[in-house]
Amino acid sequence: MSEKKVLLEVKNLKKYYSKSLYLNTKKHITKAVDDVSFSVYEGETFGLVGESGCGKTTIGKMIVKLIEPDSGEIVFDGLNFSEIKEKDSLALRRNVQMVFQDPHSALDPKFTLFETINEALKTHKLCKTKIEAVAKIERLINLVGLNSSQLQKYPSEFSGGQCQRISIAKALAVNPRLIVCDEPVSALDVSIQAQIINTIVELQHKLKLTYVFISHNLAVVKYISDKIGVMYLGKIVELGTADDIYMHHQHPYTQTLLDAILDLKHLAKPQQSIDDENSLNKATAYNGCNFCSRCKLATPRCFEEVPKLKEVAAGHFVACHLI
Amino acid sequence: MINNLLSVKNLSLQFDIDGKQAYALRDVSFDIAQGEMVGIVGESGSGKSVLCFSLLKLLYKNGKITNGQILLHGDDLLLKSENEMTKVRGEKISMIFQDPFLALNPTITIGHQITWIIMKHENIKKSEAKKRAAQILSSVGIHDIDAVMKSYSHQFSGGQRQRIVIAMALCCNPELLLADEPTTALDVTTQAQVLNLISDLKKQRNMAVMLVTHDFGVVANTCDKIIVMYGGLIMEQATSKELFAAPKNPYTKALLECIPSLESKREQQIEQINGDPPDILKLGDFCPFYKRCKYAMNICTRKIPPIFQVSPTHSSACWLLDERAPVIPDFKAAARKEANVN
Repeated sequence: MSEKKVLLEVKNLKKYYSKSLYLNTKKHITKAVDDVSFSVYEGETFGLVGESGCGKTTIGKMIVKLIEPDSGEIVFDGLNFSEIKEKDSLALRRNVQMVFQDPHSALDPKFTLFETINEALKTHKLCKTKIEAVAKIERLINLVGLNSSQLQKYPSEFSGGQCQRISIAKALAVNPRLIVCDEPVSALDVSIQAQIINTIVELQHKLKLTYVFISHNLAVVKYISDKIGVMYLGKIVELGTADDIYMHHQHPYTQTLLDAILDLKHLAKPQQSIDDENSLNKATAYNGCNFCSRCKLATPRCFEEVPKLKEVAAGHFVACHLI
Repeated sequence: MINNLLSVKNLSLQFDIDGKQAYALRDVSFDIAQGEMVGIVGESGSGKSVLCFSLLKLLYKNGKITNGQILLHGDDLLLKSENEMTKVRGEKISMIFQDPFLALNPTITIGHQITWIIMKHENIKKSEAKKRAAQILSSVGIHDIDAVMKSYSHQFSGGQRQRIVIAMALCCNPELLLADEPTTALDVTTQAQVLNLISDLKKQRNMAVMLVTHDFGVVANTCDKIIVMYGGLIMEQATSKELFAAPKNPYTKALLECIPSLESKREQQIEQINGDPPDILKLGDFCPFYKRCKYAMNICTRKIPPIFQVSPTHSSACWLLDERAPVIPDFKAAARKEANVN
């Protein structure tokens, strides 16, 4: 186990957004990502789960250097992101690619499938001749389960599932080592989701890829991930292996998320409803744990002090005062 | 005998798209009893939303109902004039939509929107309408009503907005509530709350609910009856117990298997349905699922499967249930036996 190499390390990452509602009122600060640290091992999948607005996409975008963090470090294979200048970032982008949620808006409607992928190859100067490029693109789209007869088609002629396959092929074109998948299946039909998940898993085996997999769907994340980070309002509240999170979870928020799953196998299980979701907005009113206003087990300490991540078992971290 | 509130008989609907005919609904028949919760499940393009809109006769100009009846308490809605329909909408049948942000007017306060609807439908004073609006808002679990009535829609979170939309749909005491993907745009934890709210309100008011969704998880816990749609056809119709215990249609079975659950192991692949959902412009006289079906036979490519009754409350449209079809060991053998008995 100790042989495994850390490919991506995220240390104390922070990203705050500030905006004022009216012209000269006090600025309101949103802590989109607040002191997040985790590491991803080569060949593994790291899952990030949480509700909308918890900062999971912001982390994804910082990993591919689309957004600059306010503070903290992202280290990819020994290379610190903050030390890379904009003009040198091309080499970095070759190693780290992203697949977006909505496949239709991620593709240029005026580019054919061939042009879409060829653009990536040209930007990174990966193919010397056109023949070489055609061969490579054909190989790529076969890999993601598309047909080379579709090369001259436009995105509008493809279905959602096919567009997502093109997005994956586009990300793979530059031989990346890490792919950030930001909700790659949530915009797709149920019957298509399984196809894409299977493709993603298959590609990992074939190409030895490392994934950061972002989703709000816990069942999908559990299926695909080795390690999982559960996020709530900018912070990681629980971090561990897939089994840690699902069998031995300790944070009340993880429990809430698991209760909210509408699983077909547990029809008799009554749905537990959590309190007023309005409290989500109030969370910033307290200095303590972000989850305190929604938490059934909250103690006075939770409202005053921010809990730190504690190691409860090897590799399993929980941020909660009750543990 | 159960009193049928709504019965839809052989409803067919076509859209004319650039001269091509799209068959959005084909021979759809089902009943909804008073106080019953019916789930309609299907992928995009299966006709489930169109079904909702056609019950309210809110169709685009290029949509035409070519055949069938929509009977509400025995009255055919298709024969009603536009003026009569405005009375039905909201008072008898009302609808909540997928995106609660788009369903509310951003320039008018919430209180004004709700009182306006009440006054439009019932001949009462504004002050009384306001009281009614406040009552309804509190019944959907909204606190601090005075402030909410004066607020605009952008000031609320998605879940709150959906609650307001539900309140608006209920303010004239409809007998049937059509909920078109009410939780798809919401977070997982909020989804459970909204679903609980809908089923609580259903019980309190003895109202029938038609819940349209693409997610089996949503209907499994809440609905009495489930209708599975695909390519404008009803593929399977059963009580939710029967459906989840033993689906009798290859499409339903495949759809249930392809959802990863918490128990699925990463070493095993998830069962996947190959191919894409059908293009409604290219539907014809064949089973819409045959291209993706593991068990497709010759007949499937030539004729739309008829509906086979498996039990009094369970029916499925699949040629495998026909006597002449080959017996496939896992689930169809049992289905056939039951079908013969009936």
